[in-house]
Amino acid sequence: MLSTTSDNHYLAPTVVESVKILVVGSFGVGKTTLIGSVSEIEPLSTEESITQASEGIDAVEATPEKTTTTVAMDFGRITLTDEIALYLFGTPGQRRFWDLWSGLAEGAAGALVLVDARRLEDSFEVLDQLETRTSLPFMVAINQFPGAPNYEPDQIRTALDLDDETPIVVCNAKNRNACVRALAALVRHALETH
Amino acid sequence: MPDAPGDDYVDHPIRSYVRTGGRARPTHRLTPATLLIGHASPSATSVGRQEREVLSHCLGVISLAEMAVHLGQPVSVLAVIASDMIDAGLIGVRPDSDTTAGPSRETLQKVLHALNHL
Repeated sequence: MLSTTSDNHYLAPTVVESVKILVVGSFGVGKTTLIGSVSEIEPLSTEESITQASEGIDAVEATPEKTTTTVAMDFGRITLTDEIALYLFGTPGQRRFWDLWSGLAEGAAGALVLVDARRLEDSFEVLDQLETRTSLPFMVAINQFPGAPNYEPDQIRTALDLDDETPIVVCNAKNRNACVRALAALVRHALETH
Repeated sequence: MPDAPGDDYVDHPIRSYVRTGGRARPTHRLTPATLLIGHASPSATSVGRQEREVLSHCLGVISLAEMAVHLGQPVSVLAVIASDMIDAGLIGVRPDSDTTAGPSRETLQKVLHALNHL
């Protein structure tokens, strides 16, 4: 019955519960990379038509390899136990995409805000949206890009105006263990604020 | 028979609102991480082509988002279709999948434990 294409098509029949975590951050910050690092399936992408396109708005200077931008929701999953599957949804967190991710935020365990230390200002709007429009527990993960400034977490906290309680971790989005640790830190934070 | 002589019929892509009967909102609250499972066979004679397509991707437990990708439809469109199919008893929802209230403390503890042991 199992073939290479159907192997991961379905979850185990014992799975009865799903939990979702949002991975938010500006374009090119590594959301899909992080999802791909931990997902048991190739990250999938689904597009929702929203009225605003981002063409001509996004800064691409710091990420020259990213030449096209689609408003897509990338996601992956990890079957954590016989009964629980964790879904990771990557979504741009800017205000103009609110319609796309407001439904996602509802009922989520928390949000992992992925930040590029070379472009801290790109995260202001995402953090603002999370703080003002949701009650989601969230934390910041600095995706360590080559050539990025090596800020101390406290410097990041000050620059992003984060509460003392908001965890900050450094996380290479390409490294599975680092990503899993970041997700665990977020869930721990969610439990503290639950 | 689009190729029949004198037949100028052109097969346009079907607009989303045609698939959903003009409705934008599902009757059930289905989210991308809602888990669905088929209750009927895709070969059941009583179902239409659209339902058959959905059922053919519901042979096991699957999230709405994954099914949307496999069917090449936006999640919001599939939610409307799937919602009708739930009403018709063709598919079912895992009750604890992606609830509005969010995960319970007990669930979060299980998730944390599992992540720590990955």
